[in-house]
Amino acid sequence: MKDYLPLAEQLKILFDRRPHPSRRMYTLQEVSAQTGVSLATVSQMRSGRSKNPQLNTMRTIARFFGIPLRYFETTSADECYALLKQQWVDAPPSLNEIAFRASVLSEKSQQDILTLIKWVQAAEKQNNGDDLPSLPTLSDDEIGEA
Amino acid sequence: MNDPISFAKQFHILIETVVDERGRSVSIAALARATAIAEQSLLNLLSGKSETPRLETARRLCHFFGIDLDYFDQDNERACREYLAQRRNAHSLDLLQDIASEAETLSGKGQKHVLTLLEWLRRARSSL
Repeated sequence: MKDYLPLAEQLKILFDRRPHPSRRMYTLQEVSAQTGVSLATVSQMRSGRSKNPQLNTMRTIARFFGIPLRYFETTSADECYALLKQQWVDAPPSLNEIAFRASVLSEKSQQDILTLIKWVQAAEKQNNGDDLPSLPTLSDDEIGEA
Repeated sequence: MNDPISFAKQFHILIETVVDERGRSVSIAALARATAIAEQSLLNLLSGKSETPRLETARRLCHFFGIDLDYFDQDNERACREYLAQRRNAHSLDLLQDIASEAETLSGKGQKHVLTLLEWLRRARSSL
């Protein structure tokens, strides 16, 4: 049998690399409340006391964090990081669209997009993203040409 | 058919789809031996008496069938079958690449031997 990375380690990396939208780690309470997995189960898995939970539980957790279920078959921390990194490929549709649209731009434009994203990140940090100025709406024609 | 699929159904599809060269599915007894999962546990999962396996049980099944846990994350029967079909292709491609890269390390004479061996295998199989 393969030597899997202990579940507690896999979860530690997951919590670390998949933060709450406000860029801190999810709390056990939040994960429990939003997934319906009991707080006791979530906390025992994190602490390593529960090493072999039900597959359904892991599926719920994987879906909550937007990662593939095979994440829980990783055998090393490096494998975890690699999987989380490439994850944008199967990410929510909006992210796929961003990546797709960006892929046809020049390198210079891609750099500009990165700068823009960093600018939005900084702005969101300052005021929690609640009252960012709304973006001008583009007509379908303009989007088509972009 | 877009109803969420049960583990029992996923397990059935897996067993019936993954077959050996002669088209035979694995028996539950053989599966139990190979995975060191109790036969009764397997039967309970197949009948739906156990709704979901433990993580480790699922991992062992994946290991045996040459798939990963993503299979059990498919939502419906069609997605499950597509997953297995893709997996089969990917698997044979992987193997071919392995074979090619291994063969590359051989001398020209050694590579000819491999070809002879392959031809021998092909004839042996067609005479079965």
